[in-house]
Amino acid sequence: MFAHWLQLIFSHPDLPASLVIAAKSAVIYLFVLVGLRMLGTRELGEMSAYDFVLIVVIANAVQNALVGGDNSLVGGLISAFTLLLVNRVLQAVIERFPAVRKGIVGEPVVLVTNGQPRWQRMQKEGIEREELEAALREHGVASIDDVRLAVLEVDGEISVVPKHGTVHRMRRRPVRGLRTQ
Amino acid sequence: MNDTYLALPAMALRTVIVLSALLVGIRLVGKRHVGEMAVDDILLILMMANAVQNAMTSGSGRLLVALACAGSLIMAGWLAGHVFYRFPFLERSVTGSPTVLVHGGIAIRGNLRREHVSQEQLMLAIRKQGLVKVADVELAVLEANGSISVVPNEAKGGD
Repeated sequence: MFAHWLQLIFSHPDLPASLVIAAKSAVIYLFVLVGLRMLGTRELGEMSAYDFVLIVVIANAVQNALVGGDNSLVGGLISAFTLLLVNRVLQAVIERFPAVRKGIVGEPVVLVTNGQPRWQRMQKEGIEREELEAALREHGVASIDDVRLAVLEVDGEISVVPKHGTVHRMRRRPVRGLRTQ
Repeated sequence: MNDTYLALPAMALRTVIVLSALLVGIRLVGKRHVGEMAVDDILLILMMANAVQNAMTSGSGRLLVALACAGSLIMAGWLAGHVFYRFPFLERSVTGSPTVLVHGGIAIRGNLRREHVSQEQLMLAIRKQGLVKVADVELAVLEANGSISVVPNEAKGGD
């Protein structure tokens, strides 16, 4: 009976099935990742509630495909570790090749230098004047003239360096949406 | 019939095994990176959670199984909190310890490389603190939770 119990716990798929799980997990992860990127780096970097729901739903949608009806302990772990590994490899690739980094992560965009706003760039990045000014106020800066440097970062936040004095930095918050920390 | 009594503790145990394996795995793979691609992190975590779901529940949708799994997760979290409080060195080994990235205006290249913090990520953290150059930074530390905290240089003032 005890042996039966152990079998209940440490169930595992056979080798071919394991390989299938690993391969499917990797393919699905890359597919979803590329799909999200194609929707637009910056928009998703900002993580509105809508984006969050989208990601949760996607994760649920691919669930059955990940392990393909395999209910064993080892099968699930194989899938999870495949995801981790693919993520890590991707991270290493981004680190090694700046060009890939530019494509996947994006680049920081300078919005204001020495009180000079770059409206064209802001328009291109979809940043409205109100958003920029809100970001300035959050950093305790009242007017664009007082800004030494404002940068739209790759995670969707706007960082502000004032011309003089110390920074009155408030809670770190993205321009739109959730990502609070 | 007999299986019902066997199944619940088995699920609970499987749940704890899955949780431990994931924590150890994440630590081994070195997932403590700077808050850059937030979407990808959330996607990864959610997909991993879904990938191990059936490994915990055996694909069973029964209420008791759900309660057993959720209950053992909560218990494991509670237990870990107590153990970490009692033995801080264990927590360090799981979460990692803070690493100094910049000291006295000078970047420590070895630590940056070891922790996979790129130049871009460091500059992002520095700009968020309202500074422009590495030289303006007295101290920058990669914290255990993956965020970079930045202490400005006193001499920087309002130049």
